[in-house]
Amino acid sequence: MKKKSITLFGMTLLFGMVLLFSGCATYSTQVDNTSGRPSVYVQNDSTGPIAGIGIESQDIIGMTDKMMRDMFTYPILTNAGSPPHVIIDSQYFKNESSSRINLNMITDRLRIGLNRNARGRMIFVGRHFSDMVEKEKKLKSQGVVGGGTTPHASKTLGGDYLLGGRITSQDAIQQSTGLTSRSTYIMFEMVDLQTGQIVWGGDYSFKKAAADDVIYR
Amino acid sequence: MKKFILATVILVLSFLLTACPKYSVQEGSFDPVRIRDQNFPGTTIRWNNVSIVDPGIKNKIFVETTNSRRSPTGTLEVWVILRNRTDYPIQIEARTSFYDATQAPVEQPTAWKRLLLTANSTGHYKEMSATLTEIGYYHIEVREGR
Repeated sequence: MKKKSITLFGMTLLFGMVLLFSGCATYSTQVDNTSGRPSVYVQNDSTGPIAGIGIESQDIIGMTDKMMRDMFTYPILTNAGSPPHVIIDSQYFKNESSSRINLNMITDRLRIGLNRNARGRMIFVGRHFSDMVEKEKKLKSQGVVGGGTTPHASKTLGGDYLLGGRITSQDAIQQSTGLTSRSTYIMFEMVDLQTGQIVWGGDYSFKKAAADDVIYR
Repeated sequence: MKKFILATVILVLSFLLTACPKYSVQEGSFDPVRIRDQNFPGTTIRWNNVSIVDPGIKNKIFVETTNSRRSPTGTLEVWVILRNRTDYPIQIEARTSFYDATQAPVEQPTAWKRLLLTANSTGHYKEMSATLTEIGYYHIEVREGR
């Protein structure tokens, strides 16, 4: 009986070992189990590792910074008796260039930069949030919600000045080499909403050349 | 015994002498070195001045002059006139940092602005502060445009 149980134990052990070793058998897979190239942070105010001929982050930062600082030197905008109401959004900012770009990247950055540094010298009207404001005012007037803590205003702010602008470009391609150059011109103008007078203007231009294999999305 | 001592001395001397030619001379710009003395000239920020922060163009462009003035609204306008001393065009970038009277930074450094200096010519870089009268000092940095 004892001999039989030893034999059974031996066989079980052998079976277990066979199972274990058969697990070690090589198998093939299509998975490339190597680490990929890690994503890295790069400076957004300088030319990065991927650069083409379009409008890039350093251009957006450069142009909005230049326009903001220039606007602050105009007394009509920043030294007026009462701070002017200014509307800055992409509604009247047009892209007629060959470059693909989200225009809000320019107008948002400009508005934020101006608002942070104006410190009350200019008042910015959030016309792009007007539906949100009207909805809340309606709820307040219907008594659905309370009145809030800020003073009641019967009307939302109207604008004194509105920013308009346009991006234009001209491309040149050398057929033999594929070298492409693009001259880009971006203009900004502040328009008086009473008279239509253009009270301020600024521009930013550059020309880039490359064998363009970069896709902007 | 004497022969053994003599052989040892010769061996040590030969080691010493072969080590001597292996010194190197520092050429070009020097790496930054931390100096404890706060008043040591050249280690602190040179206020209202220009620094060429890129060793690659240190001996290629020269600062002719720099100055500042108030704009009609009270912001500070600063400028620097630079000269390209080479026979080739050079692209450079410059930015300005503004500080208050206590030398504390009052706004973000400006965006890098690109300048193209043609061969042997001068060019100027101009920048405005965004804030008003609190500006006391400025510092302009220049690097090679890439």
